[in-house]
Amino acid sequence: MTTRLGAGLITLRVLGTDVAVRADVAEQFADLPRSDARPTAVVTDEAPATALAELTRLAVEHSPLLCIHAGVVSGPDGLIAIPGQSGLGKTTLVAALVRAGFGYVSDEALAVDRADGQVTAFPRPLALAADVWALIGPGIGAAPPDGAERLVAPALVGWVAPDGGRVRDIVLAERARRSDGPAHIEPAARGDAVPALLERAFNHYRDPEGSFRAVVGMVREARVWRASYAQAPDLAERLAGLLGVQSAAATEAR
Amino acid sequence: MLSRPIPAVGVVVEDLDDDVCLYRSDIDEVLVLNQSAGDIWRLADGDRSVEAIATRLADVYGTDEATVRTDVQAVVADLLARGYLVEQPAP
Repeated sequence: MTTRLGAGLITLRVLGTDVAVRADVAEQFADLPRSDARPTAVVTDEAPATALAELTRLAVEHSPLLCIHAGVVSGPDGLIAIPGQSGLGKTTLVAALVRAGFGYVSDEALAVDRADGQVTAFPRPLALAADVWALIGPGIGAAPPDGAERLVAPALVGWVAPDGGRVRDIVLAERARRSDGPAHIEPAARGDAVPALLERAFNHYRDPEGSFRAVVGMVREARVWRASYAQAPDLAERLAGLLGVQSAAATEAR
Repeated sequence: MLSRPIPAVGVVVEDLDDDVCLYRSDIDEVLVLNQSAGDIWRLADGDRSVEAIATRLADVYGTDEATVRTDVQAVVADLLARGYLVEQPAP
């Protein structure tokens, strides 16, 4: 695709491709690296929240990477991937994990190089709903009205992990039926993670066999966990304890 | 069952620990076989009949051949129905 850039457009490097957005909108996406390359697509939406959705859609559409619908955070041993399923509350869980001391990689996409299994970060802003404010705590600005969402810069939530890395843990999470029950996590068979990841791939159809082999290769290197939870911070604290992550607050208190 | 099951053309296979992961890109489906089903899959090479697979596994596991045969027949029938195996006619 050939694009003539007009004034006021900035190109961002997203999911291994280059997408241009309006400069004023790009200011909202400060954690996404800038690029001098010719963009493969241009975001036309002007409202930040919907522009973010369009940016994500276009980046996935043009990405050379295998993109899987998942939250991703960074821990001491590598990356932790949480394949998203409808109703999981993936963004809230990722925000809680970052609050618990994990590094932010993405609340939306696990982007994997099919050839070498290396993951590219997608530290886009988190679209948080009003009810998340009580869970995540202070320091992320004013809450939106009930029923609305507001984009929050990842750095306000916690540590943004540097780009790159490999997946070392995969968490197959589901919401508990009881809203007051404690979070539960236990080891699971690696084989369980293969369909969970591949079924949530956005663009595996471009290279189905290569994508399947990439997913199996990634799972082969990882530990797999099955988790259920009612409250995202509860699961985040349990995962932090399990994987040896300390929150900034806990570190300061020592 | 005298036919000799063999993997269908296009099925992609990857070992994962003791499991075997199968992928059919034509229907975009993953199937993960546990160790015992994976052992059956590995022996379904088009040369062995279901009987021969059962005999081999009974020998490996040190168990009753009749019991193993029932399991092999069930797994092979399922994989045939799902299109991961096809029947190679007996010569």
